[in-house]
Amino acid sequence: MQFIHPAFFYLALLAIIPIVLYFFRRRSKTVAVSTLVFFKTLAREHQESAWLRRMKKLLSLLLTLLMLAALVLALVRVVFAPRVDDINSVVILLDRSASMAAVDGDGKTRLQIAKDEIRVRLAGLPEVIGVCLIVFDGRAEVLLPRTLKRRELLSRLDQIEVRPIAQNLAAAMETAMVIAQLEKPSVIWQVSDSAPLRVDDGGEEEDGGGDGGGEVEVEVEVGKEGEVGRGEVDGVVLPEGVSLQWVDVRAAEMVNVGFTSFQVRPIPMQAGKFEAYVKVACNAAAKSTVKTQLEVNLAGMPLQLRELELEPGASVSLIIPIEGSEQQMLRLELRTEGDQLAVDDQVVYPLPESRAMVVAWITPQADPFTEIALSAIQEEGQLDLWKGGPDVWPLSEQVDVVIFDGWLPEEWPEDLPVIVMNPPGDSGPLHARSVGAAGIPYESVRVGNQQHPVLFRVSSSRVAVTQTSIYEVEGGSLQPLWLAGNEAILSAGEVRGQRMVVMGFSPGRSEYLPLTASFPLLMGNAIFWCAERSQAVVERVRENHSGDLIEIAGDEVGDELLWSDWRDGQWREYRQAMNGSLVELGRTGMWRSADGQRGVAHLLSGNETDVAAVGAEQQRASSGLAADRVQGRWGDVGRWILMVLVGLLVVESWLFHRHAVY
Amino acid sequence: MADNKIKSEELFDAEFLDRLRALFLRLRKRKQLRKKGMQSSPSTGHTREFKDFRHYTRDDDYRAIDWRLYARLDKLFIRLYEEIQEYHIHVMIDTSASMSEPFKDKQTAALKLGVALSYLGLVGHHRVSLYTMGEKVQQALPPLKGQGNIQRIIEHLSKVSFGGVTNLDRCFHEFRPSRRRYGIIFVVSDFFGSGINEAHEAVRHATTWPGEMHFIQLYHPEERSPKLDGEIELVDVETQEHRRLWLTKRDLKRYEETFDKFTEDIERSCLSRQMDYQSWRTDLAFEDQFLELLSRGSALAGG
Repeated sequence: MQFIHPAFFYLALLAIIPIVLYFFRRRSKTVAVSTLVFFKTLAREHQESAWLRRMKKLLSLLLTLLMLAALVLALVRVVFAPRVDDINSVVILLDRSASMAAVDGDGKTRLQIAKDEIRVRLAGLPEVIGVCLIVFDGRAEVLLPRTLKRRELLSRLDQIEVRPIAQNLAAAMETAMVIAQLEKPSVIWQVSDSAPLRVDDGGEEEDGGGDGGGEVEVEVEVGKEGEVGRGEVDGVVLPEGVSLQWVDVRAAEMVNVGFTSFQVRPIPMQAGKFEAYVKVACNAAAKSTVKTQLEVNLAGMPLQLRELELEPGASVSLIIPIEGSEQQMLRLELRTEGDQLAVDDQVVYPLPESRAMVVAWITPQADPFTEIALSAIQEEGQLDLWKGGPDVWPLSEQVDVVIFDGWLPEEWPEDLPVIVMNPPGDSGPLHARSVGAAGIPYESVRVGNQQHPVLFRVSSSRVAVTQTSIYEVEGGSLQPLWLAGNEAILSAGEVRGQRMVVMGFSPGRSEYLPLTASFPLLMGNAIFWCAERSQAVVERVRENHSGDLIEIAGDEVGDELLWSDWRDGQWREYRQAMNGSLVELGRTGMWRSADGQRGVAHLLSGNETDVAAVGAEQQRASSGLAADRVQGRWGDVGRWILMVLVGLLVVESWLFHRHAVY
Repeated sequence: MADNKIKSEELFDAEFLDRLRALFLRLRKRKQLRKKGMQSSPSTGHTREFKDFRHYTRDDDYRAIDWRLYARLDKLFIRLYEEIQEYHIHVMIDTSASMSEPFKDKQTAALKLGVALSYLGLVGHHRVSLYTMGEKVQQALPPLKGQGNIQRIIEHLSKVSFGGVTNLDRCFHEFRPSRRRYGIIFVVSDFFGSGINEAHEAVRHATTWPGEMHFIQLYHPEERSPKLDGEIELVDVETQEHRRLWLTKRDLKRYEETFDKFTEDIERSCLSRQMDYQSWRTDLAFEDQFLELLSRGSALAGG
């Protein structure tokens, strides 16, 4: 038992006052009265026997002294600490992931509560026990190796801030265990709002291993109530002499609605049109159905407002059409009454810049139907079509996509996306042979993968084709999209990073295909899909999760990233220094490098958005973790002492003053 | 028991005598102003108060002939004088301990009241009997008549000792005043008995008494509103019973309500039986309260 403020013990001298008053109290004076008949009619409690009155006085003195003792103990702040010979070191594993920014009922973030809890526990820890401070979010960081300097430890503790990054507890636990093993016996304080991973007893496994072995005691303190569990950390074996305690910082209630998925993609062949795919989830610990508003803003102007109702633990996916111009900033924001975690409430995305694609169509004999289809795409203004015979190959100008129609070059272009139609022979990874001038007609095709972007909005049900080539692609991951008989007649995929679409049929000879609207769509999809990754066509806005480590390379990339994020009703800018080309995206929002590279980073974590509360975890604990009671708890007992104090006041008031009139 | 007797000078000093005489004159004047009072009777008597003339008959006393009228009218007339009825004044004084302790004023007031009533009775040519009332009722003096006996009454009252308990029921039950003369009965007491209902139940015995009844309840203001607070050990001066209480303002308020109800019950009990009731506070002026007592229609005051 330790006292944080022992100086307050001098207040115990106040006990002299009630004791003196008790022994030198004013005796009741004797008064003669004419008659007692009127006094006898007063309340019965006045007609107590003498011994009961003496007992009451004595009891009153004892209660007063108890109250004073409780007050003094509350002020000196009693904490229960382990004996010095119990452990040699403590590893503090502090969660600073996004969910720790959740604001609980008293206005404190979970990180602040965690810091307070750590301070209390440290105050009760003997000075000779070394302490190591590790913080973790997506990765673990040893902020302070084992030290006896409490002041420095507290100073470092104060500097810790929440990072909007999803946590990786398993990796952090591994780090903590490595450090905890250095000076055993030791204890790991997992200070977080996440339940500990299941802990493997490790005895049987480690018996032959030598390092572990024996019985491993694992304490998992569930909540501040101090319940202890024994279980199994997924994939993690606690070494002998290392125990784990969970300092729970969750609140009893928690409501959070946030984005768990977000993606923006341009609609193929439609200039200035995009689709935003979002997934909105509500945490499972919410008490009831949560109403939220999804506001879509483009360039600062409200575009849409949607009302959503989410059951606890449920999610909803939406596709939101966006029509905007390049460089405009798209911002989606969730407004939920009582939402306690703000970091997942909005996403931003700069609409990418784009230019018309340049497509080279090289064919010895132009198919009119293909020409019509390409012309139709060209009219949309998204395509510059260069048409030529095999003699123009190799091309003198840079193109985005090349179409080989009925012809293949001897030297395969490995740096260009390629669409091959009706391949006559072998070239590069493509091996093909013609099936004859007449081809093989098929009245229908089987669809290999209708979800592939090349078949986006393409109707495959009324397609009759004439197969002209049998092909095979060496290596790569081409996916058959259409199959006629046993052969693929339409495939799409990548070969050593090169996008390729192969069509083993002739549109001109196919009966229905060129006449349907599906063929221009198919061509357009194929061209767009092939050029999709071409940064020259569509600006590459990189989308990452916060906490990701990305490479930002370039000659003029600069030495810092400029972040923009919408906070508190306005855009705020931050700068992040870059040391080399590898950068950890430590915040959410949009970033931009000096050479114009852009990207966005969002939390988009189902685990972080599903912010837990105590009630939900207790249910989980009852079904999963075992629950043995802790015999000696750590922590500040001031709250309990104050409750005892209040209880004593109530008892005394009821015993002695319930009939008093003031 | 402490010496609770009062010196006769203290009880009936010259100043008090003067005030009482003045009071008597005021009452007499009031009586003269009124044509007829309860004290006068239709029969004639031998007082100095002229009443009427009547023709002389042979059975009349010739000494009553008005010779002046005979000289003027040559007829014999006799003068008729008022005949004043003689009452029997019974003054019953509570001599229990509660009348002298803890407030001596009650004892003084009771004795003064006894003296004053006796004085009025004697001056009015009535018979006056004195009684003490405690465990039982006792006649302190035989019926007295004539102003000369006032000193005897004073001396006797100054020697009356106060103490013991009050048994109102027994006293009122055993008290049997003479029925030979019209009686005026004054009961001077605090009416504190062994129970809170004892007094107003004991009053019913008084209905058998002849004459008019006056119940005078004496109390000290602190008996109605005790100046007590906190933890107090109370001692009943009559029974010596001890009781320890923790008194709060709420308790004192309830005490006053109980006391007021006690007095109201007695008053209601008296009035319902055609008896006069008067509460007598010892802190108020004696003369005012005495005048009020007599002006409530007492035959002693001449109606």
